[in-house]
Amino acid sequence: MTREFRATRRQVLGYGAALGGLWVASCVSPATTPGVSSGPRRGGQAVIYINHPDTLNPAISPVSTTIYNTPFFYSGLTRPADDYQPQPDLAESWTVSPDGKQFTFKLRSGVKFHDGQPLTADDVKFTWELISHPDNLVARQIAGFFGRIVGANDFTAGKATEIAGVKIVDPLTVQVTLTDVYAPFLTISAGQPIMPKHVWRDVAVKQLAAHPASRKPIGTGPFVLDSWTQNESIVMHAYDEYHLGRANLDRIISLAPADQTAGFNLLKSGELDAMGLYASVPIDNYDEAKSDPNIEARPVPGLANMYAEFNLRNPLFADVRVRKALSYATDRGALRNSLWRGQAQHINSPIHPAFWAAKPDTTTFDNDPGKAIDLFAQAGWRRGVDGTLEKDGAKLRFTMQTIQRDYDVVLQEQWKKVGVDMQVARMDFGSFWAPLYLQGKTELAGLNLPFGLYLDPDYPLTGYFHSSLNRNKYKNEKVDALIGQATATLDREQRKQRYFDFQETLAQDVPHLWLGVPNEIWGIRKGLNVPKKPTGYLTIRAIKEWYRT
Amino acid sequence: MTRYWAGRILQSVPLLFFVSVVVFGVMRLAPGDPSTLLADPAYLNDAQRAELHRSLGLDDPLPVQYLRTMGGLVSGALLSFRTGQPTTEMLANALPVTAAVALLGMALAAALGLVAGSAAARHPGGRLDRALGLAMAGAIAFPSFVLALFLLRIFAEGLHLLPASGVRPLGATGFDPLASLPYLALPVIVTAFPLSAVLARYTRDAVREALDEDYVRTARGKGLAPPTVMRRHVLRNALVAVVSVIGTITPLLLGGSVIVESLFGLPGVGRITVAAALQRDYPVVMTTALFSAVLVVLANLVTDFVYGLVDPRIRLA
Repeated sequence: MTREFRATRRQVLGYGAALGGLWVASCVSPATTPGVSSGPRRGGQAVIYINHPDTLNPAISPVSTTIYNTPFFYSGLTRPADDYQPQPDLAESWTVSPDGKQFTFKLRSGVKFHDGQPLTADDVKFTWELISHPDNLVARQIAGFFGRIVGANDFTAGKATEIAGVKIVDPLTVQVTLTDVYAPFLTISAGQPIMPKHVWRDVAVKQLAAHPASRKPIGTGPFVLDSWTQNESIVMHAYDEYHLGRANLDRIISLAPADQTAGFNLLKSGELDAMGLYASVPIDNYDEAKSDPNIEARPVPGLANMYAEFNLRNPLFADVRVRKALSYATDRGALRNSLWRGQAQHINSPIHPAFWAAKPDTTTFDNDPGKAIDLFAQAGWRRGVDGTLEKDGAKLRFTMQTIQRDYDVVLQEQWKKVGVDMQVARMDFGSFWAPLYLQGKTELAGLNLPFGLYLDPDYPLTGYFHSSLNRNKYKNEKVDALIGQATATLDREQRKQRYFDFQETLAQDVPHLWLGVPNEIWGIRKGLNVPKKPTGYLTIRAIKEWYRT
Repeated sequence: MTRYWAGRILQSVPLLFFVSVVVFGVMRLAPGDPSTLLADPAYLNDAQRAELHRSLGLDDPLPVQYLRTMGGLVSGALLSFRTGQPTTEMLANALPVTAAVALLGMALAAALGLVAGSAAARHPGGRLDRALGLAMAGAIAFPSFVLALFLLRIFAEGLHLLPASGVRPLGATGFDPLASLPYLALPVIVTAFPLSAVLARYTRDAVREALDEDYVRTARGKGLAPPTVMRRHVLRNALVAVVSVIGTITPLLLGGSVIVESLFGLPGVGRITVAAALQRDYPVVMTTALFSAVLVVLANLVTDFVYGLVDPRIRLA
């Protein structure tokens, strides 16, 4: 998981109206006809910077760069609306059985892959089986999205030759039966890019990454890849026969400047038209970007929530009073205003603020040093002669192992004021992830939760917060149950209630300190119209609507 | 003669073996398991995690892994953990850019260094000598990344004379030397700048030494024109010293490529190496590191060979 980035703001409350409007706009935006003066102009190119992927094969890479680069070239059965409701894409419609466990997708007819071959239900089944294949180890995370299909786990375990629950009814109809109701199926699972069976059928699963089509994708997406030069450029042109209507832009060149500062220089000199996502305008250059008449500096909620995670194996942190006290000792407003220059929002939960499921007013024990000191006292910690908290002769001292090189020292400073002696150990991701974090060897882990790329709030919850999979030994049966129950109904209102309940319960236990979601600052040069979307990822998903003015 | 060179080449084999073992070992000492960076282990059970680890060949004893890596390097079958591409292909794609910048940088540095060094040597202690001496010290001390930022500010951002990033016009593929020249200009200057100062100092000292030699006095005494004396007797002898420096700065050139490529967004070997090291992509690191080692060994061989060309005494020895 790529966890290096810069990110964003935009207040949750503002969304309601904006989303509705945008959604309507995106639904009625027609395929433009040349010569007609109204509507977006067709033609021209955009030079963009959003970070290159390692691979453009969506069936093997769960990594963020692949997730946001593949929609140029591939489509899924469904695509997300701005409120994350699934919209028809390759599937023109679908029906749900009364028990909610069976979906029948009707594919759009006449859809062709970039090489001219028609899309059929065979490709759908093939793709899902490719992802779930026993040999496709790196895709297990993605395969999890298909694990609720009847027979999928047997297939992945090598006990079956196909996924029994996926039935090809006719060349344009595919029926899938789940073991239980699983709401993310329509968004995440059905949104997974569909790959051409005729290209991949004879490739050994272990050779998928090395196959040329992993670098020159053949999909049904709005753009066709012309060339990809590593660390330099990905060049693509509009696919004339794109099933949702040809993109406005003729050509996109995706550059790979060395870093965001280099990218921003290109933006200023006019060599770049847009930069965003993990490659957004550095926060230090935000004012400069804003004052440049040729650049729109657009804050968009970022892709990650900065947080510190308590390891509950540590007796110090096993005491909820200590966790709560540290939360009270934290001034999130100061983090937002100084570190992130006001370009961040705070949500006390692991659900992205752009989601319908996010509860923006979740209780936060924030910035009350008096309460912090009281709670420490209740837990037996009192200030010693040097001002540091002590209990039974031992000082309150611990280390934060962190991959984030920004908020760590701010916390250190803030907590020092209430007598906490925290050491900071900064490390690179490779040194932190497997050797320490995954082994449960961190004390306080400083990291970020990538959560703005996924189409359902469930995505990070099961893997990171359910007690069966989390790393910090946090366990609350109610939290575990709610995570499961929240996906077990297709009724969004019910799901929302369960997620609200989940967020509040989690917040009361304080197993993490949620610190802020820094905004991405998209830099867009005059002359390119980029539709406003709730997140950077949805901005990229709307690539077809971008146009030159 | 042939035996001498065969011996020299053979000597480099144990050296390269040593380098490969060290690089392999150092990579393994870095904490972090590549398999956990490929797929989020939260979604794998223990058996799957173990299987992924094994599928990358990481379960085998280290000597086996080492031999397989080296075999794969030679046969070109070694694949990157991250991209799945043959590492030699990744290297081959990135090499032309790095090579162009390094060779042009070296050439520019040699030209500048020779001119400045011999000009400074002509009147030791004179105004020009002192001015150049100061400039050289400054050039060596000045960090090249700062120079790069200055040049970018002036030529790319300010005057819009040269592109700030990339190696060829937008959307172009393939390599057209003329079209790429403006893109290479700044990286080449930044590469050449500190090297030219080093070379100028060596040249100056060597030329001064040569100027004091008896044969130069003799040449002057027999009435040769000063430019001829300079060309035929002084520079030729001074070159021996200078050539040896070029051999020793090759490693600097390769190390510098990492910085230059990052600053100017060049798709070269330095950038893939840095990314691979951070992602624990062992096969890629092994490939680029060993390639660099081979280059340095080759550069030293070539230096010795060129010695022979410029100084017949060494050739005969």
